[in-house]
Amino acid sequence: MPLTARGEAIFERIPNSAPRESTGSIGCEIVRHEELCIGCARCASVCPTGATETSGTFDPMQLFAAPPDSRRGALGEALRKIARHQPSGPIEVPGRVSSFRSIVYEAEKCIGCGACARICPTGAVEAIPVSAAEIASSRGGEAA
Amino acid sequence: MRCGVFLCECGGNISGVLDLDSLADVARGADGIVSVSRSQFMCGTEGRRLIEQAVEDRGLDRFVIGACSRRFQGPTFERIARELRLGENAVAFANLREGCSFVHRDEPEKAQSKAEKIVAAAIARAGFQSDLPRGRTFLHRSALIVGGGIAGVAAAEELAGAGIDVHLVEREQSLGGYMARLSKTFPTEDCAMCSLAPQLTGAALEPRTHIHTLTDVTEISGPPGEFRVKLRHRPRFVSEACVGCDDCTPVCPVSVSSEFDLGVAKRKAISRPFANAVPSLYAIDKRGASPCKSACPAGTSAQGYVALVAEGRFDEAYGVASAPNPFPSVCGRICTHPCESACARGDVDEPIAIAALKRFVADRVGPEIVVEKAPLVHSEKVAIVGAGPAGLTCARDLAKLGYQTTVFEALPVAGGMLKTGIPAYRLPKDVLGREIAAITALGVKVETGKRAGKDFSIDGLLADGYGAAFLAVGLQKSSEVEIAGAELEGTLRAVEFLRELNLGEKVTVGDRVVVIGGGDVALDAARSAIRLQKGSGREPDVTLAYRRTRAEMPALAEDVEQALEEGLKVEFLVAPLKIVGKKGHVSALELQRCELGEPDDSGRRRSVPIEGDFVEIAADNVVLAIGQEIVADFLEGCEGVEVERSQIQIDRETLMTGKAGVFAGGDAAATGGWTAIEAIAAGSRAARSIHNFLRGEQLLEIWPAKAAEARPSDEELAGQVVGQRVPAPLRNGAERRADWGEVVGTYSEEDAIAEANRCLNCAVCSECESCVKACPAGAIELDQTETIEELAVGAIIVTTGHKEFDARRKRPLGFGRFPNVVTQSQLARLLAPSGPTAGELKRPSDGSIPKKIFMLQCVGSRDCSSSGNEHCSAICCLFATLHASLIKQHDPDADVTIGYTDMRTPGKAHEEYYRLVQERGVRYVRSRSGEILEQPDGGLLVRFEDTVTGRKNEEVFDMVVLSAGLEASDGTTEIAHVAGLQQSSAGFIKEYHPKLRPVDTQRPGIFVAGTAQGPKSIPDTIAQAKAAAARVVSMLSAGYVLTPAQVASSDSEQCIGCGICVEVCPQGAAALTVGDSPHAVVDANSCRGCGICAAECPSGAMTLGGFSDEEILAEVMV
Amino acid sequence: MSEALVEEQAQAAETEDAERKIIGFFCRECAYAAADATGNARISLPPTIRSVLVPCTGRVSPLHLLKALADGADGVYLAGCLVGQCHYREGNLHAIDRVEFARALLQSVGVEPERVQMFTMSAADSPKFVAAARKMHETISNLPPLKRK
Repeated sequence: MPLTARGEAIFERIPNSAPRESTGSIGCEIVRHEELCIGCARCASVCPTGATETSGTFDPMQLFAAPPDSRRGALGEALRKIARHQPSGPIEVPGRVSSFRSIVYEAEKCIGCGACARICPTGAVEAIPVSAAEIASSRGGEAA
Repeated sequence: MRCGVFLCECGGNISGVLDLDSLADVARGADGIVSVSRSQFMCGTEGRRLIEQAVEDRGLDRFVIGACSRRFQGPTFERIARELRLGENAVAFANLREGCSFVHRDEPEKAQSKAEKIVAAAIARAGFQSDLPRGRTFLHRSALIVGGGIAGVAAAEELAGAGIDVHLVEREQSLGGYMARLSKTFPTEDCAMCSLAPQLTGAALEPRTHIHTLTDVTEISGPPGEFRVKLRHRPRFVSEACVGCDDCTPVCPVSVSSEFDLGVAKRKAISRPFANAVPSLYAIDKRGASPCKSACPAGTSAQGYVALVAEGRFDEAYGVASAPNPFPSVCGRICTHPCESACARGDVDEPIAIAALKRFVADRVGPEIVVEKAPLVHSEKVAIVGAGPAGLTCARDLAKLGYQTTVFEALPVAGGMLKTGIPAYRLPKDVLGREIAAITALGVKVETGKRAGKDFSIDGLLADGYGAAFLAVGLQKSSEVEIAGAELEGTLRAVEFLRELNLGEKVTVGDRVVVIGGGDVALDAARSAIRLQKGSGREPDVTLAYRRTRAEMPALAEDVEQALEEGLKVEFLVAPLKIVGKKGHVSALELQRCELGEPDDSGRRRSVPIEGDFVEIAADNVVLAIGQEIVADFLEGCEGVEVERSQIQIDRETLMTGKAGVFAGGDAAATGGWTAIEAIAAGSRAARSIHNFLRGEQLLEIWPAKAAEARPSDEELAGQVVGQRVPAPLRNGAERRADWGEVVGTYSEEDAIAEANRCLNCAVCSECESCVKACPAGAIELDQTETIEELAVGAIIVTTGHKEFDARRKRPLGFGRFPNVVTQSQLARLLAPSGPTAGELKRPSDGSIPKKIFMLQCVGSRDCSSSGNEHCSAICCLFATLHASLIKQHDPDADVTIGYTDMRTPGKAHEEYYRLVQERGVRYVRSRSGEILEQPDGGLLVRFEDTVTGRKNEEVFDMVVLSAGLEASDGTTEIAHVAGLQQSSAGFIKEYHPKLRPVDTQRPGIFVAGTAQGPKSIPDTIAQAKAAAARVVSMLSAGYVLTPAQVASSDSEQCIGCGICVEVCPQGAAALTVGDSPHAVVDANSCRGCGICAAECPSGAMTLGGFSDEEILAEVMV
Repeated sequence: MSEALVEEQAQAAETEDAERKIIGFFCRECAYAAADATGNARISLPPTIRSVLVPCTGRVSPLHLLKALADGADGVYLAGCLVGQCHYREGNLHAIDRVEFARALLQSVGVEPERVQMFTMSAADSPKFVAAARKMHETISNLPPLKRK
């Protein structure tokens, strides 16, 4: 089970590499489902470490991946109809276009607090708590 | 759906290009269409009948109009739909005219196929249109009018007549605005005030009109019909008891430029702009506390007595100076004068010599004052320990409050440090004695030779029946200092040295004296030593040894100056190491050289010894002046009073010690610096605190509230002429050191008045209270404060008027530099019979009658290049013509020339008036001068090229009048921000539609009238004001108003709570609900209907009424 | 419109010299007013342009722009108030950015970005409205008809 950087750092400091079993965890694993993302950037606004940030570019492929009954999907549908080829790459997003912000996630900065997942209105970000027992067993140790 | 299609021929405009029958056939074939008809004019009665019929016969639930642009007749058909109970969103529009037949006349086939698509698109849109919910807002039957000039008053009159309550708000102290300043009005040459005054009186008498002057509108919120308004009422400082007798202005010593007279005259701090002012009350211009007053620990109104001195009113000045301070003659000589350090004049050239002026007044008036014994009001007695400045001030104030006070003094004389610390050449003994006598004359008993803790105790006094005690014992001992040789004979301590000297004991010093220290005590000791040496026939040899440099010396700069002039030698950057003795007597002082290091806690740079660098000064005496300590004998028999580090511990608020009823202040219990004025202030506070204590309730403010400091703006300071302080007489240094006579002399009367006239009157009203004394109605209330009022009104009219273009921005014209260049408004004041010159036109520079006058038009109007005002200011041509006419009628020999760009005289009788004035002999030359040059005699050289004849003229005129253009007033810009109104160029309020809605603004319920909307004449202003009032009446008559249909709304089920709509709404009309699953809600009253939120919404939950995605996309029928 | 008509139009659109179709979204306060003024002055306009009234160009999203193209338009443009004079304060500023975004989207899939444009004008400026219409017509006419899948 992959740990966040912070989780790793904490794990390193614990003697015997055997964390106590508890319902709390060393951090959450963050999983992003980009096709559900609507680009509202609330995750970026609550992230305490800047691991989640908005980027000034947008990947048009996300339009094609979005569910067809969503607004992004409808836009993707319209674009697909007139497209002459697949999107050539990310495009710049002008300042006042709010709902097409791309989100950039850097795992190295993430501390797994899960705030992004809690605030995401569409479920595009998931925070999966990692239990101590799982970590312990994956490292060949035992839960204390 | 059951939709009908109605096609309009538009009298041939449409049917002449399009084949309506063919269109009708195509329409019939569309889904959902159950009726198709055509008419010659769908917007007429026949068209309406067709619709009604079809709705009834065919059961229509919506219909399509194929006619002109929906921007024209849209409201007509929406109204029909509403009246037929289908809802106004039941009609869709096909623009067959401006969008088709008009623009494709030469391609009828293409027009036809396009028309088919347009109709099909409208039908498709209609399919998605549904009824839009409307909310109701109850309307308050009241209005706010912002601005009390002629526009506001005219509007108020109409509204009151319609039974609507009016709140008329005006920021100046009287209604009247710009019109009140005019002399006469064009074209009739009626007197402006004669027309205006009855209007103002009418407003005052109308019970429905509530007038708020000196008031600003600070907030407007809420929907039309229910505006919530916050008003800030600024204090007038004069109550309604004012009868307008004008006894106050002659006694007010402060004169400032009059805003009402637009700078061509002055007014007093208390004033009334004109006789028919509404309300007719006077008002005081009090900007806060002057810097001098703020800086004085005793809160002395220095500006007050300086202003009175400037008018030669020395008795009154003495009253103001001595009210908080019984030692004005003393302080005028020895005070550290923080007031002068704060003086704003210091930012121009040099601070006012406030202390010297106080001394002048006190020396002159003080001796003449006869002090009567103060009556005893209360039974309690108060004991004061220490007859220094703190103790004696406390005694005086308590005596005035009616208490019997006894001051116990350990020394054989009263005066404290004033007596024993300060030598006679700085403070003559008789001066101090006189002021102490004035205190004892009140009935204060002073018992000398009584030492607390030895001859009596505090506990004993309290047991004896004294109700309270004030410990003002000072710091009577020199600080002990750890220095080898301090016990040698000849080592003197400054405090004791000066005390013995000042008590008249025999004191001698050797041939060479070194004084260690850098404060005033050290200097006093040094200068006294010089005099002792000189007095016994020796050449003075006194050196001051100070551990830092001159810049860090705590002594007053002037004292240091004077000491150096008297021959004092100074060693800077030296620290005492050891006093060297020979046979038990001082022979030299060994010092270590130092340098300045990092600043310490107090901010002063530390003195850092330089290793190995020493200096020895030969000396017979070393005087230690490095600090003072308390003599704590009084603690004997004084349970409960604590002393820590030479300071009696007190409650900072009440000045009470740990012992109930025992208070302390002055040097011994300092709450500020260790100076005389701080001690005096402490004595006053203690008196108030003791009074509260004895009476058992908080009757007096111990620490009076401090008003905010008022300083002139940088601009005002920059406009001052730089000069210098009038110097006070100073005796020659070499001569004066031979005796103990006073070093500094007093001002002569002329010098005092001249120096006092340099004062900038920072706070305007100086609180000298001359008006309070003069007012027979007791109407002056200097402690008024501002108040906030909240109102609810149904509608708002903005009538905030205009201001004149600041002609200083056109520097070559000389306005603001040459006194004889004025603006038309200023000329109006000079011509007004009630104006500053009683209607006599006089040249500002010398008061002479000008014979040759030039008027320059379009200054700051029609001028994009320099002033940025492109507009024509509408009235200046006639304004100049009017003034030229008045001048000519008064003085037919006067030569008046108007240099114009165009003569714009629209409106009734204006062209005729222009003609008439030309016949009166006024010269009109088509020219636009760019520069005016001042002649030595104040005359003005104007070069003007007559563009009609081509002739170049160059003439010298006695006066030049600039027709400065109109711009939006500052109040207009402020209300635009508060109310969220758009402004056009030059700041005027933007009307909703320049033709069709000239008095509406972008905000429903807020209207505009008068010059706030744009330059215009008085009749046009009044017409607009009445129009705005009519709009308010029609708006409020309905009793309620519907929220608009074209507002955003969010489907809470679909909304995912992302918050993007909240971010993007320019009105702040969208918000998220709080709780578990937040969703967006839109305040329909704040929403302006732009649709930005609906376009941004990622889930599609947000839509715009009448413009949903489905409706828009349905119309995109290619 | 009937299915047959749609089909017929779609087929007709395949040929190079087929009539172009341009959709114009005009804000009611300025551009549509300028359009009406143009009409009242009887100035001729290319019939390729069909107008859609919106209260403010800020109402129009990239979805509307691209859907217009997807539904058959060869070009689409927004006409709104001059910058700084939007009757709804900032709608046209949003519109400008969205047009830029839509153009970037088109370019990324190989479609000419000039098929989507933004123009600003005041309500009184009929000449500017006409110039915008003619420019759009010319631009689109010089491009092949937009094929759709």
